[in-house]
Amino acid sequence: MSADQSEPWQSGCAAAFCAVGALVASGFLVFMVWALIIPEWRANNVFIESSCVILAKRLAESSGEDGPTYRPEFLIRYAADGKIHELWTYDAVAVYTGSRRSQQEILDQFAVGQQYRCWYDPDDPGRAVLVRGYSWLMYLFGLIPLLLLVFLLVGLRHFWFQFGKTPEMMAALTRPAGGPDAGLGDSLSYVPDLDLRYGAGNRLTFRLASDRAPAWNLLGAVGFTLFWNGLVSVFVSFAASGFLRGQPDVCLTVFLVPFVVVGAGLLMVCLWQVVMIIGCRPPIVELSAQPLTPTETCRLYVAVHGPLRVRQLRVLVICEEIARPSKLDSPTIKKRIHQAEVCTEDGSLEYQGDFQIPAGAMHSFKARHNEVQWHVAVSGTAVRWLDVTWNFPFVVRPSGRARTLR
Amino acid sequence: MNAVDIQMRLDNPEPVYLPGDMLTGSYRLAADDMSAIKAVELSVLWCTSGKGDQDMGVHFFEKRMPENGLDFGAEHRFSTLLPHSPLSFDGIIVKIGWCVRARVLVAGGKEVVHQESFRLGTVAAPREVS
Repeated sequence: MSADQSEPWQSGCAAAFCAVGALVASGFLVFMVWALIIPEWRANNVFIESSCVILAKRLAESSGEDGPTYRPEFLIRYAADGKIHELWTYDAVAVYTGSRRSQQEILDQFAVGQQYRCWYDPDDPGRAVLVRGYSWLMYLFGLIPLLLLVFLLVGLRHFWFQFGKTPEMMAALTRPAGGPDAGLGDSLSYVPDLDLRYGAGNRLTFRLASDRAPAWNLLGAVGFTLFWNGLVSVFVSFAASGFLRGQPDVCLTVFLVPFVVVGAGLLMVCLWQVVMIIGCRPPIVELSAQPLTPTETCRLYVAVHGPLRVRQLRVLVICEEIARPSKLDSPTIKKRIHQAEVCTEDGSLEYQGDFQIPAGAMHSFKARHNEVQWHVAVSGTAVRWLDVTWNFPFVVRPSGRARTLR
Repeated sequence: MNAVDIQMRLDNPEPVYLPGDMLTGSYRLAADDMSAIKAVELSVLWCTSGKGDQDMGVHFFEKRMPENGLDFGAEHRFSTLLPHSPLSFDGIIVKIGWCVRARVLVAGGKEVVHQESFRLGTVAAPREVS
């Protein structure tokens, strides 16, 4: 017997934190709608066009902790609602920016004494703007609290769902449906589904799919390489410009060397991925039956095709335990608990052999952090030195009750 | 402090079950102050241990509340048809264990847990292949 003290306040505190954060983000969004979107929308859709004369202009300055910010202001005179109005204005939202030059350029576009179009508010003719439009860049900044709000609301929903519930109740409420029916209804939970992506085989009943996606690997490698080398190239250009000016920065150059080496290594990885996709296409692996059960014998067919010749080929049937710690610095751990060699290199491009799932063997199992995986591993050496391995998972079910498809 | 004692018994004296077997048993509670017991949850579940984070799956779940007019001191029987997976497994880095777990929720937020382990299936303990 064991006793423990649960801590329901943890999910309650997390839910409260998310709720407060969501309120703050909502407040920011409401402010943005009230102070930015509505004024600009009204200026673009409700304000009435008129004409005005610019009487004066100035660069308004506001000082803050990050230094001064600026915006253009024009003193305009216009007639509205039977009256003459004068006011300092420019656009619907009086936003200051840090670039004095860009604001000065706006100021220079308008001449004092000249006549321009303006738009005034029919509900308050004393309000008018000299330009209309939308501040799209500001809206992009508005996406940040919007994304934060969505994130916090998802968190709030998650923690609120957990609040006051025991681990068993949570697991009962979130339990998954079982795998595909093999005569057992939903009682084969946590046994992976058959991967029928490739459907029927040419020689045997099932063609297995590799657990590797070379195109995605290449895409990921290219993306990361572009990001890394793009970042490094900025600093390299600084260093290079120093050399070109005859004032080389030796410290920066030495500092950049390892980063450039890593960038070159990433390019090699991309090249390797391209070679793998073009030169070493995954072999064809087919099984005579699936899912298998302990004591069952199965026929296996493997065909390798180039264009690069894979030598020292080995075909193994493997069962592995896979543990995934959730800590970011803890890698996935694998332990091989069964290994049977089905066929080895004999100079041909096609191999066939039989293998048996041992009696008392563990069935395939897959949960969030733990897994027992059965797979066919095809490994070899391409162009003398490149070791290649492809894994083709298949499903082993608990013995006795499952109906095997043949 | 209100001490709660959970007495649980599985009917099968051999704690090894096969998939599809009926698991039956009973439990009863004893406490200084029975009115302090807010609820009792009974689960038939599996959970993992080993190198990875813990996974848990609940096959059978039952929550009893005092407002249902239940007497927690009386013997309460339970039964469930056991599933075909996952089977109990004493792996090297992944272990799967089954148990019947009773969790008593007491006033003040305290919880008392008692569990009886059993094996589902007859999967052999593996050895690491080098």
